[in-house]
Amino acid sequence: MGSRQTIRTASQLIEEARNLNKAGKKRRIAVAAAQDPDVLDAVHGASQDGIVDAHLFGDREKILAICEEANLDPSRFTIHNQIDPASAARDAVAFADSGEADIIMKGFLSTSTLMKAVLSKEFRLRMSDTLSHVAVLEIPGYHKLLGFTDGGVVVKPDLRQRIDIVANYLSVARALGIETPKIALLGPPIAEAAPEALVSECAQVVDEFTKELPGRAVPGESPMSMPRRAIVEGPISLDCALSGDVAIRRGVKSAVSGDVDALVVSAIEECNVVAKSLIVLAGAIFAGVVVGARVPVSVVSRTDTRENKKASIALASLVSAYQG
Amino acid sequence: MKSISELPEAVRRLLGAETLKGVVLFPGDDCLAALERLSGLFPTELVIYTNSPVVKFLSLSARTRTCELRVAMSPATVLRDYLTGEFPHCHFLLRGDLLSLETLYKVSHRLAEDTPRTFLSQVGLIEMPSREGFFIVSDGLLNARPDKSARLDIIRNSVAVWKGLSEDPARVALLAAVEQVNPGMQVTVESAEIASAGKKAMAGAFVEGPLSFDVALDAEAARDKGVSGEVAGRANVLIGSTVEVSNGIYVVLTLLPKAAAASVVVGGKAPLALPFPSDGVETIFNSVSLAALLGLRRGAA
Repeated sequence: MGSRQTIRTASQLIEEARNLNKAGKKRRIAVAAAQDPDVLDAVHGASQDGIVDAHLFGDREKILAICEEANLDPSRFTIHNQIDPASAARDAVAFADSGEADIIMKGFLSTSTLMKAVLSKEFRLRMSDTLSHVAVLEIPGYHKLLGFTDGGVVVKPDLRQRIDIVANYLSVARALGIETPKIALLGPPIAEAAPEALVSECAQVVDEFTKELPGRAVPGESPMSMPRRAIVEGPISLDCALSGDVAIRRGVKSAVSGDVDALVVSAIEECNVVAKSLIVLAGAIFAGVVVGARVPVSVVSRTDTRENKKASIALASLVSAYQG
Repeated sequence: MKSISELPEAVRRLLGAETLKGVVLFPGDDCLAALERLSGLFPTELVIYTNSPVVKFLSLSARTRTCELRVAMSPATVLRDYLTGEFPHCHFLLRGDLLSLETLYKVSHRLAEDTPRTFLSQVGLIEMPSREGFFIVSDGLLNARPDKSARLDIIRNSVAVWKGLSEDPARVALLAAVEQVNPGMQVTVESAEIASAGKKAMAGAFVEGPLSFDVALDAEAARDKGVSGEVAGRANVLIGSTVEVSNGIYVVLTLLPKAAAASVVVGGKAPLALPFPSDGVETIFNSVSLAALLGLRRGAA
């Protein structure tokens, strides 16, 4: 694949996704239960930008009515009529499973209904047992994109899920062209306050990514290849992860400090709340994607801005393009 | 008060003709700079505990009414004595850069064991340029995994700080990833229980939860998601489920976009200004001003 420039901003992210088209690798997206005004608007925009070709699985009548109302051009979409949302999810997943789509996108149905279809053993999209959400933020005051995981799917990861969450993030790091991602497993601000279970689980996660294990499933790697290298550390406090100066002041030695690419948390709230504080109050731009299956799953929320939705689809496109 | 920048003026009003008395525990250069600024604004008496060379304090002592230096070998003992009121009255304490968070944590936990009626918690104050007014976030340091009763105490301490700053009622949001109660997400269940207990226990404060961050602070998001009530969209006190959540909000907003902030520990005999290692002179100064304000109010009561 050759060496690429690392993507450091949201606009570079969108630009790179557009470039896939020029390289003849335009992504195809299958939207499950597409009768959702916000999702249709986002997919329409991404299609206009030349980022994706869109296949909609859902209630044709409702989709056309939404297009009419929102002044969207329905000829940009290939519509596969399926009124029942759960069936539309299965149809979209089957479509991706047969190689006709590269990304699955959540429409007007619950996340769990869609995830169930993605993980169903009936299809071959399941890779690890864990699907996880990765948010990538462009934050005023930080010199590169910062990943947060998992603030969307796994509520309270156990050891196995922690390892999967880090492995899943690596597919995002690769999509962003990060050569050796620096990953911080977050702990409390005072080391002593870290529960023993957290300390021991982090040690095992670090161990897992320190030894170069052949045969461990990393999204996109064939099982026999060596996993991509990453620097994983933790538990480490957030201030030390984000700032080299603070780490020195606190006497913490760290190889990720001040230059961290992704923060891995122990509970969904940590990630979700902290990332949202930056989005709501600091104007951070956000892109999110669910990874861990053979195709990325794009989930946008009603409250996301148009820019955030576009960045999310762009991120899913790049994850899919560099997943191999 | 509408802005963190009004803290010194609020201190001045309460202080009147009095002298501001503070105890400073093991300051480094940034603390000394913040104290110089403070003593330039108010008549100040400081007791400074230190184990470093005295010459550093010369310019500070020139500005204060009195500046007594005491050499101490055990920061933990000194801190403990002040938090429990073993020493004469002072308006505020300041954790200097050379007294580690680890020491503070240990002392506070031993104190909690010995005197169960004392409940110490860290309270952060944050103000963003993008938004009018400040808000509180707690507890970002001392109570790492608060149970329901500890979360109620955290709320109580935070509401007391809020009341010291604003006439507006405290609007307390128990933060979670979502605003629906979901048995698969323990935090949402607990938040709903705490909200219902808090409503009864907290006079003059609204307590609601679970609320996601955007719904708590963004009126438009609250409307979009159909969440109504006295807190959604206009929360001014944010309570995290774990220390990582509350500390996370404080750290990302102060370290990356450089929000204005102040941080204190309350619940002891005197309020303790507690700047974080990531905080600069400005935030140390704000933290001292906030602690002084709370200490003066306590004196007046």
